[in-house]
Amino acid sequence: MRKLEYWESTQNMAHPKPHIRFKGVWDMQDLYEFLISYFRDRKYKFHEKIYKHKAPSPFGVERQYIWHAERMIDEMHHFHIDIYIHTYDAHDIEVRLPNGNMKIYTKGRIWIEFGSYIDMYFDDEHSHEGSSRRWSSNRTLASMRMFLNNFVVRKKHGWHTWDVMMYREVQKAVWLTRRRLKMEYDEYEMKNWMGVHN
Amino acid sequence: MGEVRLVVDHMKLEYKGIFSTREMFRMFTRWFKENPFEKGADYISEQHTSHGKCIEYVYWPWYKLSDFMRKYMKIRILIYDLKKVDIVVDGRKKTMDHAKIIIYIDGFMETDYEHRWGNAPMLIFIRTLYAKFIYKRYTKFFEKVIVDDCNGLYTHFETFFNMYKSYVPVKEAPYF
Repeated sequence: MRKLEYWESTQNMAHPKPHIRFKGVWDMQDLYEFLISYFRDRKYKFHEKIYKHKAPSPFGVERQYIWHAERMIDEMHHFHIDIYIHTYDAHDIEVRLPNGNMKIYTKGRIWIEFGSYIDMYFDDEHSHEGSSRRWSSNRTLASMRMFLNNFVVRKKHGWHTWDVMMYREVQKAVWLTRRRLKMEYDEYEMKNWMGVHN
Repeated sequence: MGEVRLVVDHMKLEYKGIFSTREMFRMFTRWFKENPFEKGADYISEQHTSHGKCIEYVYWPWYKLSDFMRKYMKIRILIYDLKKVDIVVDGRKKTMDHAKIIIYIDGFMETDYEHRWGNAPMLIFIRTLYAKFIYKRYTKFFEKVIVDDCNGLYTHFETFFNMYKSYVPVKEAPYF
């Protein structure tokens, strides 16, 4: 049997992954700026991990974007959001707006995935005490962390954190992205589930 | 991994004609709120084609019935050739959607959703005994609950589409 390492006591709450697939015309620049500002406004640290531009085919360009946003909520919770965007057969077209101005839009297909998870009692790599592994430096601490997660703050993880992450952060981003793409149904059903202030 | 049982298999609703997509989703949302399901992974697809918009929505709402059992549904909404049409309602002209829509509803029951009883054969054995014999009444009861949910949602959709049966496009009935 494989010996377990202490860092494997790290637990995170995974969330369901919403997907968007769209074929039509959209404003890529606007979508790009919107998603980045969405996370920056919410005090996330935003990283563009990969930007891949593949050799264009006769049908258009294929691009891949892999983004990661993270935010430390409190000592217990660390939010992570992974966004994966893939465009296929994309090419620029000129569109006349209702006010008569011309603008460059993108025509093609786009695939967006919103993955997210929460680290609970994470090992703070930038701790002021200089310790990079607060909870996985020895077996006792690792067991204590698992005990806290599984029994002491289990309910709080559910209603206080899972719901906030799901309905206020991820699903809201999905809703606003749908709106940016001008999809047929662009309303957000869970808009006020976690309070009306955010 | 817990056992997943398919309780309601592919309940299908088909409709072709005039309706409002926005209103349909609002109605669906109201149902979502009234039967407090949590949101699962959803899949949204929209394609703008020369013959109209083709839209696909897949929802996985779930709800924990107990620490051991969870019910969830798979709702797949397919809309083909969606186009905007003018219709007449109470002598007034209004723009609505015309499309073919197919809705599939599946209902599932999952036991041991936190996978606490699935690590060792002995635990799986005990879990199965509990689910099949000791908690048999609860298992059967929860199955009826998910069947009821699926039927309720189906009726909601049916009632909604029945409302639009009398609507006709302007080209068939002039609004003046």
